[in-house]
Amino acid sequence: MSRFTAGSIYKLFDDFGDNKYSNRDRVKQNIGGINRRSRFSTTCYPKRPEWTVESGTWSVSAGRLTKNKVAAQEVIYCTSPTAYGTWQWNFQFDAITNWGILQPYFIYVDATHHYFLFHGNDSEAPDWNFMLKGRNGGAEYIIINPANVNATTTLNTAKITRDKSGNWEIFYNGVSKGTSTDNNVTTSTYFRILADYENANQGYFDNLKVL
Amino acid sequence: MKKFIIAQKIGTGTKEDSFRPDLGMNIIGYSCMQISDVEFLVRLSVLPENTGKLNGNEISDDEALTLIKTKSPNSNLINLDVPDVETDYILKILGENPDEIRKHSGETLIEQEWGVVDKIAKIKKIDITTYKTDFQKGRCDKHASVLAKLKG
Repeated sequence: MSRFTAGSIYKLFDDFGDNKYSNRDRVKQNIGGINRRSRFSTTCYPKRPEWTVESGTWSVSAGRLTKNKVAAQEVIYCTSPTAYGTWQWNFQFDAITNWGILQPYFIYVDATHHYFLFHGNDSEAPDWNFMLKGRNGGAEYIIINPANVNATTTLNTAKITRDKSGNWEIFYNGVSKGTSTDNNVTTSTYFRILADYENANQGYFDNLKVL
Repeated sequence: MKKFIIAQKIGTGTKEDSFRPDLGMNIIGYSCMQISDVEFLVRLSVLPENTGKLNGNEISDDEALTLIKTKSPNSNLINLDVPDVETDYILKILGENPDEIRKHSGETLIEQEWGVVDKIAKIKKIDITTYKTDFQKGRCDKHASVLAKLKG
């Protein structure tokens, strides 16, 4: 399994530390008398993504991506070709309501070919807040559905690993919540985040790392 | 305890009604893989008093391994697994926090599963070291053997 280690070269990294999701981490440089924009680049963080709002109202403040209090399904995405490896991020909700989710589609080809981690905040079904699901050309299906993942308003860490054989493992705050095997979707184009609130609350997404 | 079962597929495959195994219970931890158009192979974790409420046909570890390898030759029993709710329940009764024990027992699920039973064994002063190798192959029967020893 892949691990995050000091000096790792991430395929994708974003701590939203610049309080931007777009047109970011670029500085004007005068090269040969011409002002040019150079992309942010360091040894540790070579791939800070450019996010595109597909629908809804998103913002970045206090160094994290914020989904505002809008009762609707809304999407933000960035390019991500990683289909095997390790994905990690933080998420948080400001209240426990009876339906509020931030659902990262960490492997996404199109509307019918993807994998996603459902993590939500549901007062009516508190044990149903962290699931690995997939879709391969048709129906949506559950892959791992662990017990004992209760809704909280604290900062949580999600991590997923997938090896070349299609062996999955999902983690919630450092605790493994299950393994499974599924190798139906083998490529990716985007990393998408779907927000789906039936009742208005606020969700946060931060510290995305893809390795 | 943990079990491998073959369960019927239910759901319409929509966002609100995903395809999933029909386990007969809603609140239960499981991991699954679809083995045909109508069935899932499932590893689930359940408290002993709830086993009577389960749907599906229980199969052995060896039968489960054959099915897993049919779909994914490089995968093994540890690649279809969930945390055991029963060992976590025992740990809580003993005054311990299962998540804290798991976090400090290794990175993978099978390491964390061993960390939990090892902690129970140490509290109860029971030697389970001879079970470790078989336990870490992810077999339900070996898991049950360790649990039986821990429960006396």
